[in-house]
Amino acid sequence: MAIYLSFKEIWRNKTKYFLFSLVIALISVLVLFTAGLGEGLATNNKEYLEKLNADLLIFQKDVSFSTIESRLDFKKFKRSKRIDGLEDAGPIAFSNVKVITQNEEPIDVSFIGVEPFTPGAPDAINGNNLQTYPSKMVLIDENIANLLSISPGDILTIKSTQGTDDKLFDLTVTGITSGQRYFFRPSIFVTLPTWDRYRPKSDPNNYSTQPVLNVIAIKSNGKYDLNRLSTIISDTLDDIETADIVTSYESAPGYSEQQGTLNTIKGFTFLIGTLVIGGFFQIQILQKLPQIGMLKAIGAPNGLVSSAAISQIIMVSLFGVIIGSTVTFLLASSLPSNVPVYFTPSSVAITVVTLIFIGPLGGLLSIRMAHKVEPLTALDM
Amino acid sequence: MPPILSTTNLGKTYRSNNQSVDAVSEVSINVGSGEFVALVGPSGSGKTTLLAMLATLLESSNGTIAVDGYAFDQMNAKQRARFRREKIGFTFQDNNLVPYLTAIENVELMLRLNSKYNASTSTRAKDLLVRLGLQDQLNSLPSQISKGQQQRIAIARSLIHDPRVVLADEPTASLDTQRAQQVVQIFADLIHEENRAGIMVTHDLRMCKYVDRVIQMVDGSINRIIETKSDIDLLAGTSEFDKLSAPELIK
Ligand SMILES: Nc1ncnc2c1ncn2[C@@H]1O[C@H](COP(=O)(O)OP(=O)(O)O)[C@@H](O)[C@H]1O
Ligand SMILES: [Mg+2]
Repeated sequence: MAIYLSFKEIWRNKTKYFLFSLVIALISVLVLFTAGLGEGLATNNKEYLEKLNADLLIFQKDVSFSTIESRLDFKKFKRSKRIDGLEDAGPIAFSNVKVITQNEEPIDVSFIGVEPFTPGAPDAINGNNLQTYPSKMVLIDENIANLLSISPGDILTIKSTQGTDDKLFDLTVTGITSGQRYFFRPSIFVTLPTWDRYRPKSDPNNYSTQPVLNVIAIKSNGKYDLNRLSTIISDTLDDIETADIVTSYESAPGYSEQQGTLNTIKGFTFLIGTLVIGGFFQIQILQKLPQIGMLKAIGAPNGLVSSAAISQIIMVSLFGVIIGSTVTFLLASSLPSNVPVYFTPSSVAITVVTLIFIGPLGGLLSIRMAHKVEPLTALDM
Repeated sequence: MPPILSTTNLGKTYRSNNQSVDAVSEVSINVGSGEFVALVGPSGSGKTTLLAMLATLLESSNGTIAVDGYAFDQMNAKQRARFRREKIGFTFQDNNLVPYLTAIENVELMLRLNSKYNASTSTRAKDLLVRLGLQDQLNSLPSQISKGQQQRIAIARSLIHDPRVVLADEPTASLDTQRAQQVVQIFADLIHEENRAGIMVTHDLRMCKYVDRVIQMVDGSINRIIETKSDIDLLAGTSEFDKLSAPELIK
């Protein structure tokens, strides 16, 4: 009966309710895109670290877990491998180079040095994993592979500043990994000696097979819990501290600030949505007060009047959110792939459910108003 | 036969701050089955207040009301709402209809509220509207039809669910005389045929020729009762009759 009344009302005022649904749809698009942008930026920032097959990262002490500032002597890596409770340890060294393309501008990539088959080295999804020999092999992120249409066996040319000159180096693609973006760039992986040889540096002759590292990725063998393992590592190695993977990427410069800003925007959009929906339905109810009084006077129970109001708000919100989600989906699938807007099922689900709830939340006041109308008003008293 | 509706020494006192108004006092009336009563009197004489109490919309201050065996003072808000939708039919001065329901849907609403909506009651609703001359407006929305047509829909709604009592507050206020007379005549016929108890508040004394009894209120009390149809017919058109709702009667 409540559904009957609210549906009839919407149906006979299609234009008005449709237009208002569009407002809710626009709010939905805005919120979904903000969420997608947050997800996208976060992924661009952390994808490599998040996918690491590791439990802890070892950082230099007192650098606020910054992968860039952290410096670890290669000896620390050697010693770390002998620590009790580890399945494996992997050295990681970060730098940036440009990849030369045929027709377009060179692409900035993260140039990451790892030791093959350790926790820092991702697996190939196509072609072969990185090997120690032969040298001058490179494992590339599918983002670059797709962008430049590169397959295993092809040559990838990188540009790197050596001293005062830009030098070009050819590397052979051994395999392609899943997306491994780091610091907003796609990544390419080489062995540590190759990394130190080709990374940008001020002294072109200063390189080694055992270079200074940024961090060490630790995979536990499960013997100790991670807190205990952290303590053991800190007791064994000097001047280091450890962090789990989540702490590591959340400590990246700007990461928390960026996510915080986007969450604030999202929160405000939700708030605006709640107020707009609340305002709209309040005006609706105000116009309907005489009619509601009449319904109550002819014996409509209070519960019916309130549930008609609620079901109407839910129907209109649901319709708006569905349109908004569809529009978002269509827009998102037409976006170029380098726009950092990603939709994961869980974040979309949370956002959509929240959007559906803000309708009734915004409408609470109007439902209360409907509930309070006296049937006596039907007699103009 | 016991009356369907009866009040004894019914009174209502409005209190606000340090003022109190006796809007209705010492009203004792009986309305029987198939009886149609007009409530007249100058404005402010307590007609609407009395109607509101009879409809369980307003609690009385003194006296008792009984309708079809129900005593009002024992009912809570929920029971009163149920009582209204089952036992009472209403037409109001204004805002009678749900604007987003068609004529037929507005009438059927009363059936739906009482869980009595089905194919046969729906046909009855249609027949009633046809009888009221609305065969071409069955699927019109209230905004698409005239005030008189809206009033007739309200009358159909007030009768469709088989109420014991039919209450109307100035149902013809917004109609021209000819329309008003047509509407009240059909209304009276339906009350008589179906043995309901009907009370109509009206300003318009020309409507009294369709009722069985005229009760005149002044200052909250019954001032005069014209008991029989022949007395009403005798008085109708005389200057005395015109004074029944004249403002100068206010003491
Ligand atoms: N809610 C109220 N509060 C105080 N006084 C009221 C209220 N409603 C009506 N009255 C007073 O009660 C008296 C009767 O009013 P009413 O029943 O509306 O008369 P009628 O319908 O005959 O014009 C009037 O004096 C009116 O001012
Ligand atoms: Mg009145």
